[in-house]
Amino acid sequence: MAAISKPEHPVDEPLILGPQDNPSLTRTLYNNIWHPPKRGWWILFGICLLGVGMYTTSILITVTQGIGVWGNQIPVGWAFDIINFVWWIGIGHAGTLISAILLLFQQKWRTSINRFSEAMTIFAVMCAAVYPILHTGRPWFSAYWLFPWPNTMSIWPQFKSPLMWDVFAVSTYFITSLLFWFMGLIPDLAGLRDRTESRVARTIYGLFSLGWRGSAQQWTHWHTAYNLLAAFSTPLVLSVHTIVSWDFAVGLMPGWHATIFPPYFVAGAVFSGFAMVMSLMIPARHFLNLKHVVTMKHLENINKVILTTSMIVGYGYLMEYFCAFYSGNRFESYIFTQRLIGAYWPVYWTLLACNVVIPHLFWFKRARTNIPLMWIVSIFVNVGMWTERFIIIVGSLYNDFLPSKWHIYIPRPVDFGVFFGSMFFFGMLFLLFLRFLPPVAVAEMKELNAEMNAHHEAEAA
Amino acid sequence: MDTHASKRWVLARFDQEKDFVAAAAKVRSQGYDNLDGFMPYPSHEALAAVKPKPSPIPWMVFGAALCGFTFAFSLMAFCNWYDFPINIGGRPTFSPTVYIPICFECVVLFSVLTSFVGTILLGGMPMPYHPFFTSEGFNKASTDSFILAVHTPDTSKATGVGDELKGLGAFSVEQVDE
Repeated sequence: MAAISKPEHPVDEPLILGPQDNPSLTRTLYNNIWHPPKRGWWILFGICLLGVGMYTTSILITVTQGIGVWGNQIPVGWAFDIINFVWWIGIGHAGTLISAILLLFQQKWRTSINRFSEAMTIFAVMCAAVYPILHTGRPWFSAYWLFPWPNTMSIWPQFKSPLMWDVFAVSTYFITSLLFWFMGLIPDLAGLRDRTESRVARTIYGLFSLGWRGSAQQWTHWHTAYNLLAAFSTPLVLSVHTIVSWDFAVGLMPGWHATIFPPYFVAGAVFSGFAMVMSLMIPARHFLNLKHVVTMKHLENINKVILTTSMIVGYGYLMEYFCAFYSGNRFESYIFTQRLIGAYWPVYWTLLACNVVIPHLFWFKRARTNIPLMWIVSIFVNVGMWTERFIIIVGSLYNDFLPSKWHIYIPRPVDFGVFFGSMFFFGMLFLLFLRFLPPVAVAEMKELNAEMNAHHEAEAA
Repeated sequence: MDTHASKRWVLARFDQEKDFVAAAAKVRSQGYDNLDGFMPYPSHEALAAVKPKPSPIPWMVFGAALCGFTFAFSLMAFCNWYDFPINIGGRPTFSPTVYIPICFECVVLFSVLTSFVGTILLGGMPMPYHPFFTSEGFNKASTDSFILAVHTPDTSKATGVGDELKGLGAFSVEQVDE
């Protein structure tokens, strides 16, 4: 126990700025909840609500008219639906990575950003899950097709298919992320219950905090379970994108049938997830006054992760090319040539620029500590990771084995409606989160703060 | 069934963790073994001072993981091998290797649900009301303060314990019956 409480992080750049104690952290970290939202929040929320209107309309059109309203046309049977699914799931990987893997490695800087990124994970997985369900065409039958639910044909799902593995992986991932997030929230919800002056708020926070008292026994169970959740989430987060990559790699399509897919997908997921954390964190830390807990050191660390994963992803692209030509398989080498010069060449070159070239700016400390620049880079990475999925999916399907089947895929308005709509839906959930829940794990921050103070006292003595 | 008499607790609120730890050690040395502490974060020193029981959750989770594996494996074997064999490209209908991913996911799912439900139920939750909530200043335990609860079987001594805790730096002291 004592070994854990001894902080080993370097003291030169503090993770929490200024002398802080429990009351000051209580005051500043719950700040967003006590004050009514400013006009900017309402404007953003209004825009998001309008976007959600577009989202629901697009979904309604899809469900009532059928997926013929999308641009998908054989051989491009998978398009925006699966691109967006993989993109959102990838974004959702940063949350669990930060909360679980960095917890097990005792990376203390995760404490400032874990609540935030876990929320992002949950909302991203919600956005992702919509696509495969819509893609079944008749979502009301999905229960029979996706889960082992006895139906009138007495036939069962085909468990040898990676698509079935994906159903289990994504549902497990969603439930785990949600419970991990909620476990962390319980003590903070109790804090909100005890600090709020509004009766209604006290009742609601009181219900959700489940009567948490912070007793020694409760904390002991909580701590054990929280570490266990981290231990289970760590392989889980790696398994989810591995299984998503098997959706492709187990198929025989050129450009998909590669053993490098699992690690390269997982790295891509972490890459895009961290970029999304950055895109959201920079405005949030500014407007919610979180600069004392989300310091430049945190942002720099995120940038380093982005740089590292960018190089892993770049290596993946290189290996794909190597394998395609080394294999001597005509279809493979053709597809990979087409990526560079085929119908979708602008998309591929955008991908290379966004994912492989631009993140190399972060080799320079000046770039890593320049806030406007890192925000712009994070947006490029988000775009780049979307184009990567576009190239993998559409880029392989449109030129399949039979030239007479070749078909240029062009997305239709409803495709864009569901895609951009999901972003607004995500934004709406995120704004609600920032309004009603603490964006930083307050109890964990206090624990870290106490450890750091003890460390400083020991050094001074 | 419910025959237990009410328990008298002395609640003492400390603003500093180290005062809490020292006070817990002091009353323990006087024979008060049944201590409880309420704190805003799981401080190792504060937890060690009140000596909560070790959590059985790891064992429960181990059992849950075994159940998850058994459930997933038998489900898949039942569906695709026993009840309705599906021949896909001549692959064997019983092929344990392809069951690995879903078995793994179910191990995780069962374990995670058990960790969560275990924490809630073993922690006596959900319990929106507790007698301690009536105590003045108890609501500080979730954000700022450390509260030491001392069970005093002999209620006549509760006031004495309270005075002593005040001497040890308690911000406020109160008696509550549970």
